[in-house]
Amino acid sequence: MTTENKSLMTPVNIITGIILAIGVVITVLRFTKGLGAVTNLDQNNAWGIWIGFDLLCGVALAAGGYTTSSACYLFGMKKYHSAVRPAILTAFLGYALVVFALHYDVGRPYRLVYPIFLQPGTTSLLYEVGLCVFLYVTVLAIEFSPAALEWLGMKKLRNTVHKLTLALTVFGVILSTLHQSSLGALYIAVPSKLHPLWYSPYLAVLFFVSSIPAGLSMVIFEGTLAHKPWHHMMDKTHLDEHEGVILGFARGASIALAAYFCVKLVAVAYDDNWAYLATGWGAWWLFEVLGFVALPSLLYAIGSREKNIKLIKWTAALTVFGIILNRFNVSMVAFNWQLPASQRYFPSLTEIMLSIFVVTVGVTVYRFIVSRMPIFFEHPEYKDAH
Amino acid sequence: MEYHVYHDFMMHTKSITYILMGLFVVGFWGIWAFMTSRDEEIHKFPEHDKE
Amino acid sequence: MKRRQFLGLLGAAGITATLGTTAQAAGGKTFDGYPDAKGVLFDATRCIGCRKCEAGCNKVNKLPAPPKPFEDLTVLDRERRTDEKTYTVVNKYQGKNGPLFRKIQCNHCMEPACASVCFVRAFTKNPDGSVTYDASVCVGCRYCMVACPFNIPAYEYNDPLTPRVMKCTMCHDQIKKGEIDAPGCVGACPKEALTYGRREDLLEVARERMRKNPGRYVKHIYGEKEMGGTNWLYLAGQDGFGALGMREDLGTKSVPELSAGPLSVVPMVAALWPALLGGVWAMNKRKEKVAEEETKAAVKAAKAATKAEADAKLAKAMEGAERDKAQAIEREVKRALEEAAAAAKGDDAGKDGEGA
Repeated sequence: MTTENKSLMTPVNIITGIILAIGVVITVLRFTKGLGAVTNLDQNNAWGIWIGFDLLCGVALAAGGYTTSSACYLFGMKKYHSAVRPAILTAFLGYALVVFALHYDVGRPYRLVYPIFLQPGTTSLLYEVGLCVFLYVTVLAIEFSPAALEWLGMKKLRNTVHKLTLALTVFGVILSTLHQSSLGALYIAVPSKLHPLWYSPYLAVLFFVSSIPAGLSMVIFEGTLAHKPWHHMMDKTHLDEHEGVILGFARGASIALAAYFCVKLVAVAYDDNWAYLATGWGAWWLFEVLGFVALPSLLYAIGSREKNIKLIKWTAALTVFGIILNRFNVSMVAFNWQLPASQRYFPSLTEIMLSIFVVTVGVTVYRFIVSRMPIFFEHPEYKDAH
Repeated sequence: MEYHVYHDFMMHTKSITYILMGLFVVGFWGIWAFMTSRDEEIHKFPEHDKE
Repeated sequence: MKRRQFLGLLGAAGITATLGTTAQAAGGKTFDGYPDAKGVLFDATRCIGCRKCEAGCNKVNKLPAPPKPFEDLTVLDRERRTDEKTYTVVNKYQGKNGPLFRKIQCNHCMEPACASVCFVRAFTKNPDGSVTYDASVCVGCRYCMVACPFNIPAYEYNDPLTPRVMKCTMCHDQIKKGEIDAPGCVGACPKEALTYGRREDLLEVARERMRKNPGRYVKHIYGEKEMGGTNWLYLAGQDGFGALGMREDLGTKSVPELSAGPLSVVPMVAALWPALLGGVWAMNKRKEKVAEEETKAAVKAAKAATKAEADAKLAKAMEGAERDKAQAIEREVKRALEEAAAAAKGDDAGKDGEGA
């Protein structure tokens, strides 16, 4: 046993290893026995947490990529520059994992490119989502590549890619607007299955608007988590700007949440669904909207006004949880609400474990990358470029 | 072509729309590149603006 | 619930007054479905729940044999739905005067939800009225199952790599090949509870039955307008369609019409975002440039001001120096003159040298 082997046996690494091993087992089961063996999906509940969490939440929480890069490059907030690379990395990994997880959920993953290259079903909002996610993963890969190329020392290619920054940022915002909103619009087709408090002609707007605070909060949240273990990797610029980023993003998230809150109310008004607020479903809706939209908006406002970084960080966690709750409500809790309890969906243990496995894969790759590539610091050779 | 089903008509119009969208994006990029091609390098990309 | 249904009906009535079952595009283009599209009329007042239709369907479609034989009517005690091995099922409900039965299968929507949401065009609405599925392109995303308002498409969850979506085809292939001239279920029905024919004619048949048998039916043809209209049509007795477990709150808008709104916004993003974002970027760039130039100008002005001040000081100093010099010269000249005068007076020669 060398010392190097010993140092790998940290508690975090051991837990990671166990989860990855379980993931491999579930993978084998999924591709030998079918979805029926590993999921609680049935004929009435065709989409479970692999769609509700891995796809809907994965995409919403990866919105930090387009929000941060557009704030910095398009809206002229240069002081957020040090936040761009970590955000792009998270977004790239987020989307890559969404695509990865879809390979488990769809019946024939080897045909995932069919809609794009073989026979596009352009009337489907899922086609819109698929096309945009496909293109956006590519954009994010290119946007992220300078970090990898700097690490590999491929100067020329890195500088060429770097020149595309503006074009890629604009394209990224177009694609994000489209697929974030289309994910909500997927449910436009099911007025008879989704509870009226969540079904709305504004679903597309709701999903897009909520992706902004989701992305901003995720950047704050992730920055908080990364701060301790990788403090030594962070350069002076990153550390100096860190607090400014948190305060600025808190402000943006507060306003975005307030806007989202407004659209939520308009959605109820549109179909005159106020009476439902007095029911049990209404209580659940109020819990979501007051507790995880209105409250974090207020807390963010207080936090940024009083420069209370700690409060902001907790609010970020609250917002992230709220977005997950919303996506769960739309895709599972309030979906098929009219079916008797015995026919409702609840995820199986293997489904939950696979989702945890997917997240773990992401965290592991993230740890690998930030420990090596210039994410939290600027590569000394390219400092002048900024 | 005559369509009897609205869905088929939509498939036709949306397919054209998606092609148009692709052209829009490429077109915007093209006109932008043309318009700024005589600008100094430093004005084209946000990264390069500090001399 | 009641209130919503009422509102839904009101809304439906409003739309019906102007549109009927016709789907309409924005420009006034209308779509009435294929003129010779076939359909099936199910008359719940005739159905006796014998499950012969299930057997007929199973045979014609070569589906696997069920665990309990079709003759076993205890199966009806539990409400069932279609699944990957069963394209149609009959369910039993309790009516005011004895049991009621209702057959379910794909309703073959005039504007199919499954076809509209499928991102590989795996579903086709055929001129004969049927909606069919092509497994050779299906990715298995199951959006069709999510979208179907009647919960019909079923999935082969236990097939790991080549699962298909399974549903009634209105026996499209078999009829096309001439093997049968009506769907398997229709042919098997001993009570003529099922009638196969042109959808337009079936609507007439249904209205005729209602006219000829006053009090037997509720005055509604289910499927005439539901979700944009279906090719499978239903007549129910006085207990109504709710008693047969059928949703009465589906509305008349088809899924293509529902998704037209969000789909129309998609190209707007591609058309407007580059212009808007480019504009925002250019404005910020300009602001930055102006700010930079202002800084430069300010620095320059400050520098100029400092220089002017220095010049003035220097000039003053120079002036002072000049004055001192002039005075010195004057003094010297004066003294020289005095000395010269003294010399001229003829004093001693020693004083001459000192004056030099």
